[in-house]
Amino acid sequence: MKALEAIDVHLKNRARELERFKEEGRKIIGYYPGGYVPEEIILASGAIPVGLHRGGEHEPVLIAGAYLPRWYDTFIRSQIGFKVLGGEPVYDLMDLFVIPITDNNVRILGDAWEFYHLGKIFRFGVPHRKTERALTYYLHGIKAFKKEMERETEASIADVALGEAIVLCNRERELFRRISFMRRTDSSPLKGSDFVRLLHASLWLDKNLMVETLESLIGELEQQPPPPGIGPRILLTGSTLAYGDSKIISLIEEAGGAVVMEHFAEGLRNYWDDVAIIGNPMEALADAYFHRRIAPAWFRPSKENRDFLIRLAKEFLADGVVWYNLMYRDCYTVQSTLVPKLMKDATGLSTLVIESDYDEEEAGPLRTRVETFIEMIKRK
Amino acid sequence: MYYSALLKLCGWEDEQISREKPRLDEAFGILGLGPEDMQRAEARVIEGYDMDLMGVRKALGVWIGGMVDVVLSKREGKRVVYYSFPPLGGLSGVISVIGKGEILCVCPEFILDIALGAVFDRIDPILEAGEEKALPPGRALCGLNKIRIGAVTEGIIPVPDLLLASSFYCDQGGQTDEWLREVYGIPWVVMDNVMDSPWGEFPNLTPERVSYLAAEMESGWLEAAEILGYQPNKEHWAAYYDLYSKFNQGIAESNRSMKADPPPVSQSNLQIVRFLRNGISYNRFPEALKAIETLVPELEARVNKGIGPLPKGSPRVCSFLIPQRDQSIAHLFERAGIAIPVTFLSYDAYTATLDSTYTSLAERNAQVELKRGLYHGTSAVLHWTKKAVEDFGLDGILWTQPIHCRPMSGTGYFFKKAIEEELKIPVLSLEVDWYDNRVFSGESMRTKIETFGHLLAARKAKRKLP
Repeated sequence: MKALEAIDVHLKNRARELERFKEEGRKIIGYYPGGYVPEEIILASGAIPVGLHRGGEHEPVLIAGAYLPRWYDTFIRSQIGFKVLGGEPVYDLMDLFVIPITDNNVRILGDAWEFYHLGKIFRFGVPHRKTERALTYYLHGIKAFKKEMERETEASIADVALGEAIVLCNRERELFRRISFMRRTDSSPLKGSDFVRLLHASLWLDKNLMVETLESLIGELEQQPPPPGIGPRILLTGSTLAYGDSKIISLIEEAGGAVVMEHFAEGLRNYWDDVAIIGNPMEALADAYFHRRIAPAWFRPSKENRDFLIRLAKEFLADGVVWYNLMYRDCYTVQSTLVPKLMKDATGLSTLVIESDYDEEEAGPLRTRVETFIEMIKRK
Repeated sequence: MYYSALLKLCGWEDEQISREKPRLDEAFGILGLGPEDMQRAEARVIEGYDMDLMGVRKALGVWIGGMVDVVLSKREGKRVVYYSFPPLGGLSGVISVIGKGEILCVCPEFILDIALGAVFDRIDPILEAGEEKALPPGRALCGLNKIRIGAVTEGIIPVPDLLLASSFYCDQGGQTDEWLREVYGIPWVVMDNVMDSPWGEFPNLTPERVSYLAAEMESGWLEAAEILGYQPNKEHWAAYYDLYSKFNQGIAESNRSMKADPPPVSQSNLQIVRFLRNGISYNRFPEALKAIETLVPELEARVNKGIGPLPKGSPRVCSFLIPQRDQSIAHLFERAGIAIPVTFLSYDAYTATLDSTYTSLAERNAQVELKRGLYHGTSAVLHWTKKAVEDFGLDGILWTQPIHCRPMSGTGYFFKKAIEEELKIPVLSLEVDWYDNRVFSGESMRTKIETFGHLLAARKAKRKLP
């Protein structure tokens, strides 16, 4: 598809583009993905948001061992590794790294970044309960973030600019939902790997460009003939599916399965709900990014996340669930012992739990497990 | 009675053993502890602890009694409340005060780790049960949480009526409670906060963090009161503060003794006394107070005589916590000639009454909890550790960096760099599990510890040269 080819070209050119923006004096703002940093605030300030979501490679994980013990989430360690190794333009170019503190894994990333002087960071807290005072705390955090952006860009952020950014981001969310929801039918028009490629691209590319590309992709998808029937439909979920971590999706697709929905930190949380365009924009952002966000595993309670998974499995007609967990992301590890039984009881579906430390040597055993799982579903 | 010798060794009187005999018989029966276990336990406590000190012996006895209490609690008609370690904000204490006799409010995994683990060496099957059910091995998950789940699922301890959960310092603790809640339908009270302070902010606190934590604590008290049918009033809080301040006073006095050269006792002995405050029920608290009140003059007497487990002039270090599952690690340190007069969790910040600028009870509690450092963040723990170096005249840091504890796993890396650069003293960081000996080998650390001991001794000798 032409739109997907265009995405690849844009991604290839993005580093050079960011360098040019930087030379022009625009600020590059990196942020920790996971759905809690409102990109709208960065966009409204005139700066350029980029999600730091590289992963899937073992060398950065190894390098991070000089800075953190291995008992932290693989993705967290990777972020340190990519920064220290250099050569990843976004990590080198950013003026500020925004880290919403969610659990101890993310907190240690902030600590390490500051302690080892890896760059300037700004952190704010994300409470673990959905209460009014938690919402107030989150709102206080993003207001502090807005002030930080004003300091960084030496310009005030007007409500009008915030409103425009919200409208733009909502448009992108709407387009993602349209594409994603096409997969609720028997024949999914887009491969899971392609949809994830789009999600990842949206964290790096210019928003207007992304919107244009998604619009043209929808045009292409609507014009193409219905694809033939697909293999077992897989709901893929877990902690983090990083840009570059294509192993699990490839294994599923190579085994004849089709990923029809993915629920990760940088997955549907970003597009599932719109931000309200009426009322106070900061309050609207807090409401959408915190109060109405699908609660992750580290929420108390995290039942909302488990119930939501069951809902996704039903709505997207899943035939099986693959739980893809990075090593030492403890909240997800514990949840992975609860979900298979709950899923089985609610939907009759089996869940395959897989862990990764981005080690190449995992590929063989993982392939066997995924192939067996897909084969088992096919024979049912 | 096959357990009399052990219990006497652990400070129990004949009268108490007779009085509690039916309970002991029943609890040891449930736990499957027979005559051979008692003999092994006797050998272990003699080998592991400083049994010349009656305060230490009594403390071991309180842990055993605490284990009996929790095992029998439901059978004795009590309502059961579990909190996790480290406890937050005094709620567990005040529930203990209010519900004496009717409610047993404890940290069961801490009791079992010391009593069933350190004393009886029978904790591994419980850890394995926890791993099988919810917290798989090989993922660096906390032994305490494994014990909590393993002991409940194996029927060693009862399913509680209420869980007091904190959701921000320890993610795993909250998840463990969530697991129990999902499987058994147990109500819970969650007290939330966010550890979002920037590096170096401490000792300052943002008012928003204090307010949020205070509001969470206050609502936690109300929710717990509604579930349990008790409403804490000023008198209950006063009784709680009185009780625990007496205990803390004992800890502060023992810390003063530990400033002596040589320190009068191995830190691991002091640790099991100090943690009585964090684990056992209100009913056992008079015995806990007795243990610390017995220990304080014993330590002072040793200080006056200038004796301790190590010679005067031995190198002195701070640690975070001594692995408590058994005493072999503490003995490794001592055999290398290293004294540990202070740990982070024994330091004054954790026991002294810290000033608060707030007036409401919840805000005062919240501010003090954050000022103690652990709930504030890594840089706050570093702040207090550096202060301990000054206060206790330390020659180095022997940091027991936990494999299993996400809030603390990274400290060893940061502290080595920060303390060596700023304070110019050596830091050795050892990866251990404080509660589970299966996941690391003390013996494999022997060379490192001995070399570190030689290094500290040489540096100390060099400083004395004219």
